[in-house]
Amino acid sequence: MATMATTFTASGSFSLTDESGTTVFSYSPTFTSSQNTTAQTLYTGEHLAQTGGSELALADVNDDRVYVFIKNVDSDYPVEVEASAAESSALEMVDLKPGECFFTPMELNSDGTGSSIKVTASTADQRIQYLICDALDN
Amino acid sequence: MAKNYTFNASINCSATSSTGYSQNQTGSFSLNLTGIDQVQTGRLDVATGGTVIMAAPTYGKVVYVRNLDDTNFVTISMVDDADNAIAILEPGEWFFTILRDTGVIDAIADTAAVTVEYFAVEIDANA
Repeated sequence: MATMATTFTASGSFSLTDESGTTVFSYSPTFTSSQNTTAQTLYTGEHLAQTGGSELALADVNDDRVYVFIKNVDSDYPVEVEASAAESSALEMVDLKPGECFFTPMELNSDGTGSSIKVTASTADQRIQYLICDALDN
Repeated sequence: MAKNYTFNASINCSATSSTGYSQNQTGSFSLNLTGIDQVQTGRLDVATGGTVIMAAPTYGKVVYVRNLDDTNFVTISMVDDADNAIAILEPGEWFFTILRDTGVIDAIADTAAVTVEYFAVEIDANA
């Protein structure tokens, strides 16, 4: 039986500068995961997030933990991202205006039933791009 | 005290299969922030019972957390509820998000207290 093995690397650079030009903080985190020999999938693509909510196709993903990068590549309206099976309150994991992006190692299965990511555009459908990769279970 | 800031973010992610198949995504953006009251950064010990990363902001926040522990994971969540997890960070892992709401961000250690590196910056209504 064949198995799939993946590794994931995330690097970031974040800084805050005040109005006088003083750097308040600067962080450049990076990590590379151990090889995940139980991975089931590595997804990347472009998706039209709909105003009523639409789901990224993750039918075969390991739902315990996945690495998720999403970017709003449209020019008009924000897009919200949530685990589709999260609880009914405080669902939102990020609120991306055009041009913005986020990264998180997230759990898709917080209530024990879910395995997908829901993206919802405000006002009109918006395009997003994404990279999703199975992560080792916690 | 300074009230106006420029926030810069850049993220680069890549995933590679043992077959050699590899994909990469990158993004970067800036936010001009005006009239900001909450700027928090540093290192923090997170308890198993939960520790507040950022109290409720007026409009929203950008948040980064990196797990500095060698062994245990930490859950980042909203409203002090691990079932509303935004991130589950194994040792060395980090996350970044933007939330335009007034919710509290909590960190919850699993087995024992862990130290995290973090920033949490309030954003204004126009950001």
